[in-house]
Amino acid sequence: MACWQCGAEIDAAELFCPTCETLQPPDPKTDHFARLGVERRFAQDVTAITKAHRKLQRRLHPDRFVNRGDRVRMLALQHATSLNDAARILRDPLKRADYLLSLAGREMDAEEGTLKLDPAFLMEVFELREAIGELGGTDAHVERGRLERDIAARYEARLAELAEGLDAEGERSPAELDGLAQLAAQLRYLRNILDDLQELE
Amino acid sequence: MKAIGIDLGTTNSLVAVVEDGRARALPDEHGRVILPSAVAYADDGGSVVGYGARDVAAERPHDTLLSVKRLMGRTKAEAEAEGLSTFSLVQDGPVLKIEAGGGQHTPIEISARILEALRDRARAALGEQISRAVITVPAYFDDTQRQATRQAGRLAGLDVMRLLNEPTAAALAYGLDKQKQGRFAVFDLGGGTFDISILELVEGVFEVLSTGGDTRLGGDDFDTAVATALLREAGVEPEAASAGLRRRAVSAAEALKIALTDHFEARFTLVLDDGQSFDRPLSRDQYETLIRPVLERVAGPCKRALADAELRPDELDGVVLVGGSTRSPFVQRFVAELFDRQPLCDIDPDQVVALGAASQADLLSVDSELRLLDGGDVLLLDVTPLSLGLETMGGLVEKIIPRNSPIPASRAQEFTTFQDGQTGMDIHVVQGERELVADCRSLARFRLTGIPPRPAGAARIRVTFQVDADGILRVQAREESTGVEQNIEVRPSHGLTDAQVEEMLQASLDHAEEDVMARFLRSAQVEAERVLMPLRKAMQVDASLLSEDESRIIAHAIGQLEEAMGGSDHRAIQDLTEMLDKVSAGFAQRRMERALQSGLKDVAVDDLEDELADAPVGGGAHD
Repeated sequence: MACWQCGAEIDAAELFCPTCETLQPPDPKTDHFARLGVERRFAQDVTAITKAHRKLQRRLHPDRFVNRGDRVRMLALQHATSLNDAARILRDPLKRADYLLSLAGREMDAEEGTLKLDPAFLMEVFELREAIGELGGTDAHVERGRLERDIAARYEARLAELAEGLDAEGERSPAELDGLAQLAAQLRYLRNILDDLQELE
Repeated sequence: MKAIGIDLGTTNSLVAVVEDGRARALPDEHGRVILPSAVAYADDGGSVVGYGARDVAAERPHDTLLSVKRLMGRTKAEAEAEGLSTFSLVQDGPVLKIEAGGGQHTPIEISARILEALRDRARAALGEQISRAVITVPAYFDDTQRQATRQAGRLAGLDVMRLLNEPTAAALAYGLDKQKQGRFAVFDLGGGTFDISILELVEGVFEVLSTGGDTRLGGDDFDTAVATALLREAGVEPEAASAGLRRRAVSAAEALKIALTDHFEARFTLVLDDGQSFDRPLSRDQYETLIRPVLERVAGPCKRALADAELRPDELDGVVLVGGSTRSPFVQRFVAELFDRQPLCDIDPDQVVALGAASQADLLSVDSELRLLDGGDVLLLDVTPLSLGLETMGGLVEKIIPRNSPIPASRAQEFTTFQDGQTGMDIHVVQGERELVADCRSLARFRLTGIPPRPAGAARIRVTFQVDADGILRVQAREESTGVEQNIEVRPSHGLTDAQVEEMLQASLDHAEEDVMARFLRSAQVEAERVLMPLRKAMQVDASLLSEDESRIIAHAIGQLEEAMGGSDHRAIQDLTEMLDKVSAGFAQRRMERALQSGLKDVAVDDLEDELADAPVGGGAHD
């Protein structure tokens, strides 16, 4: 690839041209993990992600290029936007899982309508929703706390299973990917229920 | 050239600047840093700004405009619905005007008068041209109000580098001045509004974690609550009281509040409509009981802001107080209770916002002073204060960029057609937290046309929202199969257009004053020519010193620079000049060596050295 400014031959992943030091466009082949310089896997140290995000924003944010040309500031805007996106997605375990699945060819956004949830899980959701609806009376507070812990435990168990599946060695078969996508979808449901329960406070 | 920070407040405004590595507020010729946000218009069209205007407010109530900030970006209907103004308002098409001094003035023009007064104060104090500024706005200001503020700056002849949220500015002032790292809550309680922000300053990055607040809650509500309770005690039903009595009761409550700031007990005295007087002593505790329900209302937004930031109160490193109403000991005590710590108020709450604005203005300047200081080089990462979305079926809002998203941000959402053969789609951009479009603010409407006629649900329309670092929103709608697209930069659907602002600026511009941008451009062109001329010559004379690659790269750079010099992007010219200097550095070095080897006279070497020294090293020698 040639530097857009000086024309020198450079690697597409370079942020700045080694010859003229001009900011380069974001490499479309860079995924969010590579963008923040962390390993592509589910298990992540969120603090390290936050640190990497800050460090890179200090180099690439448009405010660091206020006196540069339009093109440079536009590129900085693209970098900063992608960095914010990367941090937002990788800090959140569910978004990170969806993102890993999409990198493996499972587009979660497009599949939401077509993915069939396990009927046993749907039954579980139905019962949980019913239990929340019946909350009331003098010990509602205690009951709500118990329910919240119960749902949180189911959430954590599935999250651990998903983590193990995503970070397992070797290629995953389509059936395995389906199973992981199913887990990710179930986690989204459980999280929504937890959010709703917390809003009842 | 110095860049200034301006706190354009509802009641008072200030200007500050960073000098010798520290932000300080600039005083007027009488030593006063505060400029009352008041503009009085005379019948001959002239105007007075500040104390002079505020002092005549009682005599000329209709010609003296106060609290105009509340009208920024509003329509007459909105202003009246919220009971915002006692002025005589005129809706002229999309533009709101206020009648005063025999003329009509837009809130943007009135604010521009205040900004000009501050700009002139800075010019006088610093003895130099001032044209670049950071202006603060309340965090809850929507896009329309922000655009109006930006236009007021433009109209005052200022290049508005950034609109900064007031609580963020306050936190920046604390973070930089007190060298404090960690997480802060900024508690900003003004007369009529309440803002809360949670920020984190770590490793040179100041990150806004969450914002929240209540635009209809402020110190004035304490007075109303106390007045209502005491009227009742005096045997008058507040709803049945005359307007005059209610006003007197509120004033008496305000006097009581101020008296209790310094004393443990004070008297509430009120003359009733029947001529009898009601007089009652109140202790601080009794007063506090009366205002407790109002205080409780600030707790909700504080808890939400903490939850949004995923923090508990004990994880904070400090709570910063901003706004006149935080001077009240009751508020301070309540905040201490709520956050379980003593709040910080060691920077004057009246000045802290302007000081933060000045710091950001400095950081966005080429010749920044703060950036050179230990711990002073800070990057501010802000968030969107309000959710941005689209109208969907049934008048519902689909949020595209939720509030508290770090900016710059970009999100896309796919929509489809709902009728067979549909070829157009209306895109209605709204801002706000409510579910119904009717409860949110309408920012823009446009229509995507040229969708290929297909059965309902077959077309795929991708709508992308992009918010840049200035908080400006651009929306793109694109039909995926054909690539048909529409782009707009969202501009307020009412108020002045940018073209109108430019026209007004041209009409008012003092022609002795140079246009700053034109000056920047000329100076960049001259600088570029200084580098280009000797290099072109050297490439002919010393062509043998260049490799084919190098020759190609330098020729390419020269071509780029020449092209940019024909345009108006002065920063691009500086960039390319700098780049040309870098890519030709090796060549210059070899020419120097050859000159030395060939035993040229010292004089000639000196010439060559001068030539090298002339080439600019930094991007901007102009600002």
